[in-house]
Amino acid sequence: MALKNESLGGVIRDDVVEPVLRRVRENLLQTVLPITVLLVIWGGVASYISDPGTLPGPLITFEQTYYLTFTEDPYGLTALDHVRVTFVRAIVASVLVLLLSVVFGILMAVVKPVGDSLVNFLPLGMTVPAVVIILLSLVWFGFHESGLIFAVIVAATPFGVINMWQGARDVNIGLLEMAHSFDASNRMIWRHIYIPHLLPYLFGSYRYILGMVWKVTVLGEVFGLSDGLGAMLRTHFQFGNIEIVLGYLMLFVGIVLIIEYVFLKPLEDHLFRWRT
Amino acid sequence: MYGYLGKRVNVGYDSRLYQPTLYTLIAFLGLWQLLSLFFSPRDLPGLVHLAEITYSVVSGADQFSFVEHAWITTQRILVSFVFIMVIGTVLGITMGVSKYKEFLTVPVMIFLTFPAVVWAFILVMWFGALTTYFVVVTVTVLAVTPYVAVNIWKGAESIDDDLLEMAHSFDLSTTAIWRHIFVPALMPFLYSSGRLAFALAWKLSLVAEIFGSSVGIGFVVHYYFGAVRADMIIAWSIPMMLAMFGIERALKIVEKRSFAWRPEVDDVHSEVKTA
Amino acid sequence: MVNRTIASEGDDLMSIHVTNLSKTFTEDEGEELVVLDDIDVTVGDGEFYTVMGPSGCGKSTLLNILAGTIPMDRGEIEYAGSPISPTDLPVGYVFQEPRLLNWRTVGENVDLVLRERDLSKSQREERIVDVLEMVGLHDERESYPLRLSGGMRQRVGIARALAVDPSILLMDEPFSSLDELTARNLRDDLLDLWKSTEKTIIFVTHDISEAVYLSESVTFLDTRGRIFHQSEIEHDRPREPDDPALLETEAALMKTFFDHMATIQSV
Repeated sequence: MALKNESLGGVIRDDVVEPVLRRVRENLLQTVLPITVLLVIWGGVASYISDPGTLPGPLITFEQTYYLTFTEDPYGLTALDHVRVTFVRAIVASVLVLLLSVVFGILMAVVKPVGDSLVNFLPLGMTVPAVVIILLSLVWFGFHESGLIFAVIVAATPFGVINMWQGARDVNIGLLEMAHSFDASNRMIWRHIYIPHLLPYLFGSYRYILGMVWKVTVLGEVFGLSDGLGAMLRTHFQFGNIEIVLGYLMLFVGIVLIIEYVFLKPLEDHLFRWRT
Repeated sequence: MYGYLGKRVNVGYDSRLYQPTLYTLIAFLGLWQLLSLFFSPRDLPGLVHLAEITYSVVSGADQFSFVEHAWITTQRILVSFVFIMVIGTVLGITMGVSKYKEFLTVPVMIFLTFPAVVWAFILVMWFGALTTYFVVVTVTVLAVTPYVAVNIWKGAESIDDDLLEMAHSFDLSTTAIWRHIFVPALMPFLYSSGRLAFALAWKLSLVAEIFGSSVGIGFVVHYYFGAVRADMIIAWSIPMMLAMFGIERALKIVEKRSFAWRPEVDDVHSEVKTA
Repeated sequence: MVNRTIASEGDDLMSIHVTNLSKTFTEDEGEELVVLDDIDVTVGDGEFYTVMGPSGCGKSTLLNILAGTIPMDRGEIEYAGSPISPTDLPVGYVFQEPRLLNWRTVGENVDLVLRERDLSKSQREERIVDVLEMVGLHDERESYPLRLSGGMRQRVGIARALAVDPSILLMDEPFSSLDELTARNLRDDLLDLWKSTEKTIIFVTHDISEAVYLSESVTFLDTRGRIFHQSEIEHDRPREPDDPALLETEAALMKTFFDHMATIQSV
């Protein structure tokens, strides 16, 4: 109330800047504090066990992450190279999954026979364990990237299709009726109704697909490949190097979280800003 | 007789979908059969061969006893399921009603990012691969619980404040509020979490069994992976997969039945009465 | 209706006096919002008392305080001649949206508010049948709320409020989300109920014609949380919604309202 008496400049500063600053502060607090608590618990348990061969503390682990990131292994690759390899695979696979999901999702929503034929198979496809698909496609394609990418596509596509299909079915019927009442052409309907509506869904679906694809890719690498994060995790698991396994895990978690919450989530919020 | 159990509720498959479903199934099997002609039966078995080896697996003619391995996997899934639901529900409700819920988002997101296989590696390094239940169940519980917790959390947050205000204005007791508002409002989320937990527990138990055990479907499938026998991998997966699919569908039907109060959106019969 | 025998002993014995009632909300930004500023209200026994005001004024807050769901900052409430805490006032509350438990049948929704009271099973049963009869929904006892129309759901809300046999019925814009035809039906039924049960009704609305059609007394709240006008509506009953005399009263009240709002805004 007191603000009313101040100059316009004062009002703007307090009304607009203040909440933004508070949100940043809160976000920081809500991120940093829980992470600190987790690290303290981890460190506490580790120092209680006091056997780095069983549970290395956070310090040793992050040192390990740092070391792995900048030191070449016998094949001349650093952890960053392995991460890059994994991520290229995941991105290629997820884009292919997205394309398939968009095509089938929209076809299912728009062409009734397609929807009727596939609707009962999606849940069946979702029941097939990713690990079985991975093992099969590695046998079929050999221990090669193409086998991995095939497996990821088969495992993730049913989930992507369902997601996209729901988005396409949600297209507001009222808007479509309005468009028809104004004799809008098919092209206009697609351009002004379907695409603006589906774009945020597309993005949401992609984020959802990517969340799955990371994990399936890593799992595939565990079984069949000699480079990439999964392969490193398997190798060091076999040698019993828990601090290296944890070091890679931290790297993976860190990068996935940064991609998710620093890049993709804010972008999605922006695309969905019309929904409150 | 409005809204009584099953009366207006459309349960199970829509009969209009039998035909398209059947055609797609025939097309899929036909394509499979056609492809199999170009490969060795060990890599891509034809339908007849596949039926034969699946039968031999189920009837116990294979070198591994199906009953023994399937039973142990089932037990692990069920035990994990119970732990996941109990821990996930308690965590989710706590997160939904806690004053500090904003502080729980980040840790849950971190745990959701962990690939299940890393849990398997860590647990095996700590406890070895010889425990019958401990490692596999723990890995499954650690990997699946965050999903359930998040789902229940959303449910707890969706509870309508207006209803609570109504309850207070009529002086309802805390027990009554839990029994008539909280629990029924959480019910749909409990059901969907249950189905999610079940589906994930089945998939991740297999991963855990590959590294953490020398019994169970996961172990056998991995054995045949080592022997480069795609046909046996498929034969061993099919029975469990069909069973899991059946259970999943059954849970879905039970779920639909218990929500007779929700009008079916697609149901043409559910006319709304006028005053 | 057991309580009515006590209530009818003296005409103004069961009246409600609210004095110096104030309520301020503190918003997230730390800004203070005065919704009720030193309010005095007197509602006679069996009166149909309406509180009018634009949205955002403290109408609903006043009801919530009387229902005991929000504490007041300052003020006294006197009922039947003695001071009373708002949580002890014998009220039944009808909300704007019916706020029913969609997962319980109509009968169970009514039963819900009876369970907490010292009633035998047969007494509860009798009460449920009674109130559903009153609102004309005895056939829908086993229906689920989402299968009913908006008007019927609101009737269930009214039945639930009547079930606790309150002396005072609090109604927060109960008909504002219904179509006009349904709302008219419900208004007439409400007046019949009011006449037959002789309950005191405190009714909140932003619809001036609704206020004039229903009430005996209309009180105006403004956006600063102050009462600026009070008016007795003395038209004979039964009233006709489109009676020119009522429309005249409405027009006069509207003018009072806009004149007052203009004085606030110019400050």
